[in-house]
Amino acid sequence: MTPEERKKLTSFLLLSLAGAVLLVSAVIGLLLWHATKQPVSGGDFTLNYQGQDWTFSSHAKDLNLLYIGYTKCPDVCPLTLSHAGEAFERLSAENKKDLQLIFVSVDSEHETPEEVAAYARQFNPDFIGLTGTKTALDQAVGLFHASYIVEKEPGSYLGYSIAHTDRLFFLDQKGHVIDVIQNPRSSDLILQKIKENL
Amino acid sequence: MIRTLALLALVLPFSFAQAAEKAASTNALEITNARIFTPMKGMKMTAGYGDLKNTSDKPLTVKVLDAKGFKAVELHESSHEDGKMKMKKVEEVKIEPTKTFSFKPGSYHLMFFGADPSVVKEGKMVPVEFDLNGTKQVVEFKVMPRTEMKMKK
Repeated sequence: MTPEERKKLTSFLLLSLAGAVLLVSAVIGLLLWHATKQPVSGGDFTLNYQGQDWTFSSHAKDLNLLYIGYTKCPDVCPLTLSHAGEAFERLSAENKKDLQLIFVSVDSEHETPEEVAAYARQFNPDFIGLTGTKTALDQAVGLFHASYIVEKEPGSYLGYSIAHTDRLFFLDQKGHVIDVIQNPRSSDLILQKIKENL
Repeated sequence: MIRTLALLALVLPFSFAQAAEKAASTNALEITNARIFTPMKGMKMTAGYGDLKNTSDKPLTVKVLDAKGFKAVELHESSHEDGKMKMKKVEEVKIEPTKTFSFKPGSYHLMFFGADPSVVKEGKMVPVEFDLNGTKQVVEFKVMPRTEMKMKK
């Protein structure tokens, strides 16, 4: 083998080795990414708004806030929605165009779509109040890894209460969760998160 | 018969005196920031909050009995359980001597049902009757808009 040929062979081997190292690194990286990536939470859903089907993907804005509760919840639901309403009031008209809040009532047995829509509007005229059949609600709520349980309370005047996830979800245009506030009780924090994600 | 009446005449003044004394000493409970959310439009339910101080030197068992302008009032507790906000009725709360127990959002609170809109109006006072160790005390709660409530939470 001539020195020239030996040089070419060495170069070829070095290049092959580098290529193999790159390939192995890429495969390992891909495997690690698959192993550690967070599952995508959220997605498209259809519920009822004032008696009509309301599909998220047809109404999605740049940033969408989602809260799950029920209108007869007198404590945390109205508090969260009033804080969110206050945060919205502090935004510019420009920001508000790219933003919406969706309140989903999981009390399909006792609340009508019209009641839920009217309830949500009281906190901000642009808030969207949705509900639906139990099947549609379960499907929608499940997308966000949220949950609710209707609990009978025969000793109480209302006769039931609903335990529900207490999180404010921030969704992108595809309905994917990009941020969350646990127990949202501060309009300052809601405003801050809106600005961070808008 | 005459003997019975005579006995009643002897006993009744003492009973009334005892009752009056008990009533005078019932202000064992002081409630500050006593407030009720104005019910949302179309809603008959709402919540009430306040700071309850036991000013006596004995433990106080507090039950809620009645609220003018509402069909029912109950003590409720909101709490986090298994990642969810859960609410349940409680029969009573106990307050140790000189201690303050707060009814606040996301915790213990009063639940009012069946609001009569002609009575439960923003700015009005609603008398709420409590049972304190078996003795009644009425405390007035102010009906307030939610925006003011947030500042006082």
